[in-house]
Parts: sequence; structure tokens; C-alpha cells
Amino acid sequence: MDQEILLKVEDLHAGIEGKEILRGINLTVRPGEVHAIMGPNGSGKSTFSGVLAGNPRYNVTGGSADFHGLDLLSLSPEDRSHEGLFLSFQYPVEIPGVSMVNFMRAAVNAKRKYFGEAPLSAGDFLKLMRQKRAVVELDNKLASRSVNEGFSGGEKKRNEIFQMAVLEPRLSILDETDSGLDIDALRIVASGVNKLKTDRNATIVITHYQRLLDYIRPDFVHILYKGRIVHSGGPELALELEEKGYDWIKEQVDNN
Amino acid sequence: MDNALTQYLELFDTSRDVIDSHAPHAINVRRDAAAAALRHIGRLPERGDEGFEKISLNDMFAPDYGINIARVDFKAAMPAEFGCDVPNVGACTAMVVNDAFTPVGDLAARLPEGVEMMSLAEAAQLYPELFAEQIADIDNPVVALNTMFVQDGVFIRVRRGVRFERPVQVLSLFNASMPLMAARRVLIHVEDGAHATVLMCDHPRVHTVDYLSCRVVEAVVGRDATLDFYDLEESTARSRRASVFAATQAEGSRLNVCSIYLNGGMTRNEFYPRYLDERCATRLGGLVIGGGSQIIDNATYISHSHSRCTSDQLFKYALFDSAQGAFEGMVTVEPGAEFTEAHQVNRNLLASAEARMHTMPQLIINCDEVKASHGAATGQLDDDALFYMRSRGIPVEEARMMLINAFMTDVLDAISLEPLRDRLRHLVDKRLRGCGTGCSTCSIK
Repeated sequence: MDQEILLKVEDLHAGIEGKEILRGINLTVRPGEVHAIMGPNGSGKSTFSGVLAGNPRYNVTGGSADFHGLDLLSLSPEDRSHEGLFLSFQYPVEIPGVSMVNFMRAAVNAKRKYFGEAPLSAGDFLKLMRQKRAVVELDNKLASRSVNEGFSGGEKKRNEIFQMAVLEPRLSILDETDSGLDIDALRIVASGVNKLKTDRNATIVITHYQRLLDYIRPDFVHILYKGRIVHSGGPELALELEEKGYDWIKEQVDNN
Repeated sequence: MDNALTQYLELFDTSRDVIDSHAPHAINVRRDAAAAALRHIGRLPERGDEGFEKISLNDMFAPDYGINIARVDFKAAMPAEFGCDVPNVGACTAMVVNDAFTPVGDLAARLPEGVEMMSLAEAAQLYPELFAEQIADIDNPVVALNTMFVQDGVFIRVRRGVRFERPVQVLSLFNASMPLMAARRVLIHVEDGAHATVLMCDHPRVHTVDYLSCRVVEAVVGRDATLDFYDLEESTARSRRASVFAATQAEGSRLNVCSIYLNGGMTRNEFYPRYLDERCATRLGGLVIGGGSQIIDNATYISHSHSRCTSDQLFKYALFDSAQGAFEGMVTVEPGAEFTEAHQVNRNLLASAEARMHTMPQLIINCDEVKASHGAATGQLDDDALFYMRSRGIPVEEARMMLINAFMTDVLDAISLEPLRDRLRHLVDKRLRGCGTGCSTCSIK
């Protein structure tokens, strides 16, 4: 049974600049599953994704995270990526002067090197780019531009899913992927995510709103509040939240 | 610290005859004024003097360097075929060995009609009239020291209306087994309507000897003429360089300078473009990658004395280890220089806690109807960008390299010759990857 667990987070505590934000998170993700993590502002959603991806800005103060048998928290961000973790950023970073092509080539070849493979030939690399761009209908023109520079909100998010398609992660964390998207862009991004879904990989969707979950159907919904998962359920929990808001959860937690 | 100037003035006084006997009259006649200027100045600038925040010229010139005034031939000690394929764009190439002009291959045959490249001493005999006026200011101590001792160098001329697209390349090398100072001089004439691209590469020959390059480059850019001047320094920790670039620009001329520092010991570059008329355009670009205990100092002086001229400056430094950098820029817009456009930017990246940068962009405007801006910023690598790249699997060192490269890239964008730009980009990339000292594409076979 243990072999089928992709990610097991236990009693995870983390913070920033001495301030504790995550206060004991427990979460188990198996291959083929889609988990949604919802919660009010400031509950720790982005901190959780940042800690899993290894953002050095956060300090882990307790607990553990096992990623298919590896001690995730001891790995560098780049090794987490090689081992199959992918974070789609809420705010993809603009990198003026670094072209998308060079960025992706460096990423792809670093992963190949990690697994002892030779770098991709120029032809194979371009073919790979072409294939993966189709997943999110990403314009070829963006390839020659600097990473995310001058991209619209929709293009930035599609670019994230494009990178995800190229890197073929085992676990994808989508941090507020719906923020800043109009309905058409949302549909394209969600359909991209769905196309990449297999029974071998898993997805954690972090979102404020139920809207995205109409397109990416979760198997589990968790509510994060004050740095803890305070409630878990099936897809119906998202609908309940949409209807009733977070106040009933807050009351339940704060009164106990 | 002793007054370094004394030894040079004494050497000049005692060896004047020897110096003159190995150089043409048109060059010799300037020496008295140079010596007089230095006697008047009394001492070389030291650290802390105005405009000399990081470098002391006195310290730079103080060691007891030899000067080859008797012109012992060092060329014989050079390997027959020294190849530098920095540009690899079919350049017409000459070497300056210490200070002596040395053509490479069949240089004369490769130069098209209307393009000349020859020894400065030879040119001074052939065209003494071109030496009547000195472009660089004799009151500048580096110019004065150079003028006192210069005996040879490079002369480049592109005749009226000739647009020569390929670069002419000057490879400056040191080749001596004892500490040596070379007074190097370059004179470039780009006549009316002509175009020239000049690439200068400074290289060492021996890594274990102290060298001092006291260099003056003078350029005369004619009416509606253009000069692209690219200057690459890739020398050793034991090299010292004091360089002055001075140019006059006639009406409608364009001057595009890109100075690239990849390696060296202590370097000071000064730039003095001067407008003779209206509608001139000047671009000064500087790229510095400093490491170890290197000190790199760039100073620019632009006086907008005529209307409708534009100047655009972009200097970028990336400093590692305990490297120190300085940039001082002075732009003055004189009364009556209407419709001037002057921009000056200096940006610096400190890649270690010990690296230091001093920057002073200055702008004085004495005229209305002017568009001008200046700015400087010094910072570190963007942590968010670094994490973003790492999260995609790019190793941290590679990510840092890519970000520094990206930071530098727009300085090189100004290099109009594409193969040359690619080549220099490659060299910058290699330098950032720490591929040893010395330009590894220059191979001494």
C-alpha cells in the first residue's frame, strides 16, 4: 500500500522570518488523484506550495514530506523538479534577457543530465517544444521572447502549463492558476491540465474559488485555515463552500 | 607613496635623444608640451582625488617598469603564427607587440582600396599633416605620459565615402620576460561619409610578469561618417591599463563605442567624445565582469556643445569576489545646445558580499529644450527569478549564470556586426562560466 503513495506530508510546520504560517499539515496524495486545497486569504495555501517546491524564503520548522520514497524537504529545488515535482506559479516571474527557448533547453537538459542522459539534439528539442505548445495552444512567437516578459496574464498561465507538459512531472501543484484568467483562457489552461493527467501522476490544485474545479474535477477537497487542514471531503465540499463561504468553517475552528 | 611621476620625467630628460632617434619628427615634436604639462601637474592622481574613487594612477605607474625606448625587437620572440579568432569574421588584423606594429599575414593585400592600416611611425612620416592636431587633451596625465614616450602604434584610415563593413582588428600583446610599460597609440581617421569598424583586443603573452599599458586612442570621425569601435580587454591579474579614448565628431557623424572588460588586474578607461558640429550621435557602452581583486574604473566625459546631438551611455558591471568597480560619467549640455538628447545609465550587479561599486552619474544642463536623463542602480540577483529557474530544474549556478548573462545582454546588442556580436556574447558567457583566464579562443599554436 505504501508504494502507491506519491506524497505524504506529516505534521508540517513552516514559516517566514520567524512567523509560523503552517502549523501541522497532513496530506496524502496517491497517483491518479486530484486534490483541491481551498481556504480563505492568509490561510497558508501559497506557503504550502512554496515549501513543497523548496522556496528558500520559507523555513521548515517541523514535520516531514515523503515524495515517492525520498525525503523531499532535504532536496534542492532543482532536484525536486528532476524527481517530478512541478509548481505552477501564482505569479510567474518575468526574466528579461533570458529567452523562453534557452530557459526550456536549460531545464530539459538539466533533467536529462540528472538521469545520466545526453542533451537533446537541436532538432529533437524543437520538435518537443512544438508538440508541447499544442497542449495549451501557446503561440510560437512567445518562444523567442524573454521568459514571461510582456506576456498577458493568460499567456503567463498557459506558459506555466506548457512547461509542465515539457517536464512531465509526477506531481503538479497549481497555485491559483485561475487567478487573472478570463473564461476562455481558463478553459484552455484547464483542458491542458486534463490532457496531461494520467493514472501515474497527481495534481494539487490550490484555489480560492470553486470555478476552476468545474473544469478540473477534484477527487478530494481540503480546507486550509490558519495553517492546518481543518476539513476534508469530496468534490461536493467545494460546492458547499461556494454556497456558504468560509465563515462556517472559521466558526467551527475558532470555537473549538 | 613616492611621486611616481619623477622617475618618468627623469627617464625622459636623460633619454630624450634615444627616444627621438627611433621615432619620426611628427611624433617627436609633441613631447616637450607633454613633459611641460606633467611638470605643471606635478603629480599623478591618487585614490580619493576627484574622479579617482577606486584607482590611483600614481600607484599604477609607481613600479619600476622598463620602457623599450631603444626598440629592442621583441617580435622575434613571438611565435610565428599567433592566431586570435575572437571575431572570426574575416578581420584584417595587425598586432601590437608591446608597442610595435606588426602586420598579420598578407594584411596589405587584404585591405580594400581606400582602407589603410599601418604602423603609426610610418604614417607619421607619410602623412605628417594628420599629426598636426592632437585629439586627446595633453593636460590629461595619461595622454601626456603616452605622448612623452610613444614611438609607434597603429594608424587606420578609411577614405572619403568608403564604407568598409568588415572589422579591422588590432591585437595588443605583451611579450617580455621583465616588467614592461608600453606607450600604445592608435590614430583612426574615418573620412566624410565613410564607415569603419575597429576591434581592439588586449591580451597578455606571459601570465607571470607585470605589464602596464598606457594607451591613447584618437579618432577623427568625419562628416556623416560612422565609426564602430569595440574594445575587448582580456588580460591577466598582473596587468595594469590606463586608457584614454578621445574622438572628434563632425556634423552628422556617428560614434559607437563598446568597451568590454573580461579580465585584467587594474584598469582605468576614460572616454572623451567631442562634437565639432550639429547632429552628431554617440553611443558609449561598457560591460565589465570583474572577479578576484580586480579593480575596474570607467570614466566618461561628454560635453554637448552643439545642438541636435544625441548621446546614449550604458555601462553595466557584474562584480564577483572582492572586485571593485567605479563609474563616473559627466554629461554637460552647454548654453545654445538646443534639442540635445543625452541619456546615461549605469547598472551593477554585486554577486558577492565583498564586491564594491562606486557610481556617480552626473548631468549638468545649461540649456532649455533638452531631453536628458541619468540613472544608476546597484543590486543583487533577483531571488524570485533564481527560484523560478531552479523550480524548473535549472541548477543554481547555471541559473545565476543565465541571469547575469541576461543582465549584460543589452550592452552587446549595440554591436551592429552580428557575427562579432555572437562571438563576443560567447566570450562573455565563457568568462562567466569561469573558463580560465586568458582568451581561450586565442590560441598560441
